[in-house]
Amino acid sequence: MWYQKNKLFFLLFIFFNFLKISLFVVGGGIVMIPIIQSIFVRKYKMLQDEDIMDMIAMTQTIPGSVAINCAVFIGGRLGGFWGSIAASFGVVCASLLLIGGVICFVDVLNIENQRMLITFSYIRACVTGVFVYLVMKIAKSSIKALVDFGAVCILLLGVAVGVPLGILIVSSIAMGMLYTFFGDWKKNRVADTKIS
Amino acid sequence: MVNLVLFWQFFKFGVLCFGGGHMIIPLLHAEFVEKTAFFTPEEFGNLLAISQMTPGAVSVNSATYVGYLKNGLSAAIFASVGVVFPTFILASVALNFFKKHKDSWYVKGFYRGAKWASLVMILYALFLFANISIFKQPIQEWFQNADFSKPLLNIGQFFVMLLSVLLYFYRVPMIAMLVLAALIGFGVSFI
Repeated sequence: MWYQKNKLFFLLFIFFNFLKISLFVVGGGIVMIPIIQSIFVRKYKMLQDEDIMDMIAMTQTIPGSVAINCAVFIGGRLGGFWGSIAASFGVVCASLLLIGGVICFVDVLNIENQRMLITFSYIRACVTGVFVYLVMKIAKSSIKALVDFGAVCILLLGVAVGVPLGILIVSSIAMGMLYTFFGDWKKNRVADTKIS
Repeated sequence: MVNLVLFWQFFKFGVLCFGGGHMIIPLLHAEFVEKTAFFTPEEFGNLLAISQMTPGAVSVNSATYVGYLKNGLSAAIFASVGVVFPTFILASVALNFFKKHKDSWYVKGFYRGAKWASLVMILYALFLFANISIFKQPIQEWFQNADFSKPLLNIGQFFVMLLSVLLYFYRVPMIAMLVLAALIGFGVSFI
């Protein structure tokens, strides 16, 4: 195979595969995972299913969007540091090409055609529907106890008052840490008293 | 200079968006609609609808798009690389740390807090999008002086929203829904 000849060709191979994935897959990172699996596990047999499981765990671990996390992780598994650069470069290039193409046709900043405006308002409604679905999905995985509900209510109050979002996110993480810290501390104390 | 500022802004957004690309939407809104008023809310909504419809990652697409509109191709490159860049640092530094201390209180607490934040951010994004699609006027203004004589909902848009939620539960691909919504909208515009 051409991509097995030397390292540079292999990096190009990674780049083109990720370019292809992000040029043809609509719907963001979550849709990409099964396609990455089918390309690198079934077609080329370069990775195992465990690698894909690791990737899913990793995308949930660190911040950043799912698609980029996948690209960095899979690129890293295949070709080390330069592999992950090639993969994420592929994702970025796809966006540059696509959005550059869109810009030639639609000028979002001044749409004057009345028909276009109405059509876009319906597309926005559809995106709202996608968000309703996402809210339900994320709420199911993140609200498991009364504490979660309370914390989310406090944070929503923060949004309503107008706290800057960066501060809000950082304080949310701080609150989570405080909660688990005191939870563990309480548990340990109960365990100590039982032993003594 | 504009490019470097954009790079720094999108670098921050890349660090802060936990749990998926959609979390970048409220951050973009706060920066480019509320603070600098570069877009009107509707234009911003159209931009995100386009980034959702074009293939590829939503966060990178929207970063690229904002970059193009701000200062052409060079800014687009700076913005999209800025959004990707934090992942490199975090993937090499933080991943091992998180794996090693998986059961400690701080990593568990980090996850818990990040999950709360991601729910709040997606709720906020839903609120922003509902205001510019299914409601006739921003809902917060309506609450301040409630006027029951005027209708609050755009009926057509509301039904398209319900339809797309329903279709999502039947695992219809997102692109099919978006195209369907566009066709409905185009049809309605003739009436």
